Amino acid sequence: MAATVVSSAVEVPDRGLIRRALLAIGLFCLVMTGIHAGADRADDTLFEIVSALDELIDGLLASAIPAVLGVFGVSPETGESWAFRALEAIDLDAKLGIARVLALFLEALVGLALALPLVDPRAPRASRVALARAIRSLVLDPTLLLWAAPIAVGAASLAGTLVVIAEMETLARATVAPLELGPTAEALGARAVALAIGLVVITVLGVRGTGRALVRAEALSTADHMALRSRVRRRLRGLFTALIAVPLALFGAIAAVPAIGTLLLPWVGR
Amino acid sequence: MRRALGRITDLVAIIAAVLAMTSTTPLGGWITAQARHALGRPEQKQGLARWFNTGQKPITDANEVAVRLDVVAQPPREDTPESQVAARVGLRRALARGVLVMAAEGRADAAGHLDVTIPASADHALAEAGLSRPPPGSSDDVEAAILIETVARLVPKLGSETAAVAALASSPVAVRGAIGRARALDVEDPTSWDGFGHYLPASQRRSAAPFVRGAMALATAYELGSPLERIARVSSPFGNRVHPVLGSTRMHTGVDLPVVTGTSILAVGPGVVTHAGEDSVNGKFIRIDHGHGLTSAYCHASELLIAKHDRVTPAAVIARSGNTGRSTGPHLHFQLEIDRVPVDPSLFLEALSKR
Repeated sequence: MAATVVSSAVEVPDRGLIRRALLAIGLFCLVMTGIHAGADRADDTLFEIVSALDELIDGLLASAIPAVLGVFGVSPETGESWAFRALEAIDLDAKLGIARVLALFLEALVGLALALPLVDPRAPRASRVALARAIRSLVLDPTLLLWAAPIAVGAASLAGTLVVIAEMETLARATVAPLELGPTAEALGARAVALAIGLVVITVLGVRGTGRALVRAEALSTADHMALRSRVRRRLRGLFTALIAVPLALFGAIAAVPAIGTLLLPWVGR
Repeated sequence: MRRALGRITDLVAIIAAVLAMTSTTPLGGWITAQARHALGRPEQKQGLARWFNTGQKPITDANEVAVRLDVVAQPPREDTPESQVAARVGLRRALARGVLVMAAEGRADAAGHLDVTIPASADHALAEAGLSRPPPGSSDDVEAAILIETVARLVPKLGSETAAVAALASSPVAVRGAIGRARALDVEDPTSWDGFGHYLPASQRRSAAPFVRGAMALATAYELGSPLERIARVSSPFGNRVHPVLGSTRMHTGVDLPVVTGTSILAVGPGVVTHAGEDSVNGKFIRIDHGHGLTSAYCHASELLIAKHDRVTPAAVIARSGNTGRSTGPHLHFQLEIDRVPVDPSLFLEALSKR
């Protein structure tokens, strides 16, 4: 039953090379947008981690460098000067920079890891049969990847869709404003357009991407079976997706919710 | 029919997803920039910090007009036409100067006369203010006067100086929508850039941000006060110098003001304390965020009188001076940064420029 519902959205009109290519681009963009929303949220957390690490290393260097140089007969003043240099190497701004670069790196890594397989033309087709088989495996022979991949892609698609809705609402509002329809009509019209586009995006791209991720995960699990990989190794495939991609995608979905919340508020003024 | 509908929905979804990615993600921004470059339409806007990043060296623009960053950064003078227009229309002189510096994109002659051009994005703002572009060939002063008056007329309409400046770089309609959304979400100070900027359409937000943040950062920087009640001298200016402890040539990212231990250190402007702590280099130090990317830092203190997240008012006593950290004698190391790039405080602070 579930397979039928999902496959009706996933399997259908993938005819035509151009259309497939365009859908792949859309899927890629949606997942990347969702992951970016999550990475934005993770930025602050990463800064705290980098700061804590830096403090730990600073403490170690401040005592270790003068002590080590002292063994080689270097004067305490010179030792202290070298320690100063080492401590200054990573200052507050550098820490901020490192946190941002890490967030960017994480975003690119997770985004590409999730999005690229979805646009791979050699990937197994998400047919009704393939989906039914994947859902059966999900329940009867679960692996980390079988659960993590569709959850990560689904959450990233949801986050991406929420960003799309927020962007479209603002864009629609700015577009209809010159028509001077009045604040109520303007606000309601913009919200209706944004929600309709969001619905189309999640149906056409979100569900399709999630289905494809599930089928691909099942194909990899089957390949592991065929290659006679150990049970532990099979079940642990997808550890990166589960530990990094899923939280980042969920972060993205959570981060995008407040912007969407405004659509439900009674406010209609300009 | 069903197939046609399917194709339309597919296309809508794809366009929406592509638009969202190009306007919100770094990868999208990079792709857009490359596309603009390939089409021969490179992004013209740049952050204020990049102008200052070149230090004190003069740079040359496309017309071979020498641009002195220190000329651009000098606080506004009362005797200039722009200051007189600002006074007539009731706009802060510092804000008028900030807007004009951004509109001139840093171009100025050696006398500090700005080469002002009304931004292409300002048409909606001009219309809302009941003004229009000057005829071709008009002088810089005319363009400057129109810009200043536009901002002054939009301030009461949009509710804040920042919103009026943002309207120049995007449009009054978009700014009103963004403020309305920020209000609906109960955002603190919805008419500030931090309050409403996030709710502008992403493409407008990205293109307007450098202009708004730059103009407002300059408007704030031009009005900063002194970090000490009395400054006797500057013992070490901003710029490259031989480090007194390390002995090698290093960039000095602030100014050193010799002062006896225990002297009151004052906040140079309103803001929020982002750091109040101690490390081995800066000793006890405080960093204050004045908004729009402008921060000030006060190092080597003996005692800190405020804590992180505290709000400070101009000239509030925030610390006592000292000799902590890597310091060879009691002094205050005062540092000013725009978008995390250290700039010479003496270009902005009147109290320092006279030393």
